[in-house]
Amino acid sequence: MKTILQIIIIREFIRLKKRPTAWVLLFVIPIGVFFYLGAIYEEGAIKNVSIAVLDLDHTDLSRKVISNVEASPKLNIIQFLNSNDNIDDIFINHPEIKGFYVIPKNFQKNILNGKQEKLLVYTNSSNIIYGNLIYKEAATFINTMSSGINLQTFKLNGIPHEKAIKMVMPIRVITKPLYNAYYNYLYYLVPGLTTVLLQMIVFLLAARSINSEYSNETYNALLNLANGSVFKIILGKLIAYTLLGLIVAIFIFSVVHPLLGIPSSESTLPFLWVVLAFVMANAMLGIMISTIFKNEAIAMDVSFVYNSPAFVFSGFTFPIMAMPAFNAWYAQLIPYTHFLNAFIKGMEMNTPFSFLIQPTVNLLVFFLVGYVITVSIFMFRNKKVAV
Amino acid sequence: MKKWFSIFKSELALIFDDKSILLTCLVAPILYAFFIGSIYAEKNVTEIPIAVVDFDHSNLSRKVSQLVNTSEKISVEGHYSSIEDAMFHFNNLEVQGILVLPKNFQRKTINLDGSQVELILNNTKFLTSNEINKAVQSVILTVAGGVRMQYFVSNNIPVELAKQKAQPILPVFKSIYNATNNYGDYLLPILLILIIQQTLIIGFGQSIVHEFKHGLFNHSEKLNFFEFTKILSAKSSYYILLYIIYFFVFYKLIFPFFTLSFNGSIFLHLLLSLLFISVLIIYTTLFASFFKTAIGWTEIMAFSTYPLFLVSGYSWPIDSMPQGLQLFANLLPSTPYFNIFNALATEGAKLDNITNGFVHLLVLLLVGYLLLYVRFQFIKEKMIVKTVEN
Repeated sequence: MKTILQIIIIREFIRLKKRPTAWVLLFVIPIGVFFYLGAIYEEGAIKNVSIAVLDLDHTDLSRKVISNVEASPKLNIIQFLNSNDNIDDIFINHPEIKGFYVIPKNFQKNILNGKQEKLLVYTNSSNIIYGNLIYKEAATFINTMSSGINLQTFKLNGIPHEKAIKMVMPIRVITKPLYNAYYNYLYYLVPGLTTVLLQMIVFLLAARSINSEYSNETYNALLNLANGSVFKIILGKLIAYTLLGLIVAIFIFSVVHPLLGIPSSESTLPFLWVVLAFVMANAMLGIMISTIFKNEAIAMDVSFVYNSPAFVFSGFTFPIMAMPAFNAWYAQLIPYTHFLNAFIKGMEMNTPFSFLIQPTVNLLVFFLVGYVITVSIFMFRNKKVAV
Repeated sequence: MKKWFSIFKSELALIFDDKSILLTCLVAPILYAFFIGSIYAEKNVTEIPIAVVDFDHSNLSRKVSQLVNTSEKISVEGHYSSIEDAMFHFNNLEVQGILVLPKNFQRKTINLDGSQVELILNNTKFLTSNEINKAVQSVILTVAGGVRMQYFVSNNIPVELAKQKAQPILPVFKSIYNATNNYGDYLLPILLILIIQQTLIIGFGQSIVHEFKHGLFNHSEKLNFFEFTKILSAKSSYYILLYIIYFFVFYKLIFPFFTLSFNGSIFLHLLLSLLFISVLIIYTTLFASFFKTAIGWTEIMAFSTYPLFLVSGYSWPIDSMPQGLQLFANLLPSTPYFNIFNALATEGAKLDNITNGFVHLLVLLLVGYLLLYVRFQFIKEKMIVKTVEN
């Protein structure tokens, strides 16, 4: 014998089954879009950046600089510029060139005379990804060359090789980039994108859960089914959307990420508690919007306006601390911001669960706010009907 | 012609009647532009918190810590006596990096015995991790250069020459079109264009779905393609005008408001925007014709923002994507448009430099129109069969 709650849950699934867009949200987005996003970042890192060189010195040392640049695995010299080329127009006339080195005249002469020389590196920083990559490669390469020259000077002064090496680089920085050591964009971006889309899926599905009962004129039947209990209606719908959200989340962590080659975390199973809070919060907020706005189209617009900037507000690509106060405050009003905090700590950094308590509590606050507002609106409406 | 104007008028009535279209096309573009645009108002990330673990407690270790703290990009949030203490704040995301200055750091450095500092980075977010790395490396290079300089000075080489000898090759970086290499100037212009694109797709798509369900397209069996195009042109005229105005307002008001560079002739920009809007309208009509409800259209298209932006080649090079996606990216109007917009507005290119992108958009317009013709014929035949059956 099925309970009223079970009947409401099954009824909700049947209603979703009849809605083609729900199928798209539950199947096409997780299967199609998640893998599509993974495919964009399949290579993980930019492997080749096209650059040019303008050699105004034409000496052995300048040629050595060029051969060293050529040896860099990420930089590919595709053009040698000449003095007639207008430096200001290089990037406009040759959009494929993302950066260029300028080796000045008398480069070799000055260095051999013990004078400092400049090596100019121009980057097309309208795209900072290329700009940063060329900067990194050039900084490493130029410092290495500079060190090589110093090493020769020290050895010529009679300093033993071992000691000379230490003198060249008196302080070394041992960098330990944790949790994504190879700067892989697939590992970096795709977990963020799939989880923000999870929020949108749950929220947008739930945002039509109540109002569609009014537009399909099935609300009274539902109320009768629930024996007049709005709590059972809310709970039934909440369980239905939470279950669906959890299934999509499990699909993300057990199928999408592993198939895309994103390293899985040993904390995935305990982290499902946080996922549950996240999914519940979004399902509840979606139900709240659906209760507030009887017009499904308006509810959908509001959900879109609220959810679509979630990724940029979350601090994932641009830190919240760099945002103006209002934006930083607004970021806290989106569940994804708190989920991301927990996700990074729990799944990527494998921190103990105690570090996840605060963001999880925050997610539960979203749930509570959604629940209280939804119940209040239902009660207010029922009171109005009774009057 | 009278019919054209009556369709135009009824489209206006629909927009003001349908709150959803009204919100999407009249409120959302400006609201989003300021709301999302203001995220990047500061443009640069500064004062990223890091922790310092100083095991040396020497003058040099304090000097390094102080230099790191004075760097614009990072800020020393706290000094800790053990890595475990610092790790607590690191794990709680309160600091994004830990600089460890080992015991005997000063002695080894001054004696030119080779010392090491350890920099632990939280690489779950690249922007902050890169900035910390760059700032710390720069400080250490300066200190190391100073140490080498001291050696030359102690060998009776004049200070000025010693300085030069300490760093024989000086890298000089010139970031063109974005002097401070900041995130805001890089992302915001295209984000603003993306806002225009997405609101147009969603709003106009809702109107098209409405037209297929309740309006003139509901009787497509009675139309020929010329009439269909005429209705479409009347319907879309309002959106074309509105969105051209948006482009103008964005270029003249919102770009200067966020101090974004905007080069090139406004006329050329608006001409290209017109072409871009036209392609978007054709594609939107084509895809919206597959939808039965306007809500369904909004529900699905809400998920298109990230996939369309990320495949456009702006944030990730198209040639680093698989072949199939490269082809797909080139079928989207945003791919050539983002490219030519960036070349014109940021780099100050001229018409000659963007011919390829311009032709690309024209080809997409023609392909879209052709596909729309095929789609229309299919719908028409389907409706004829349905009418006969009834």
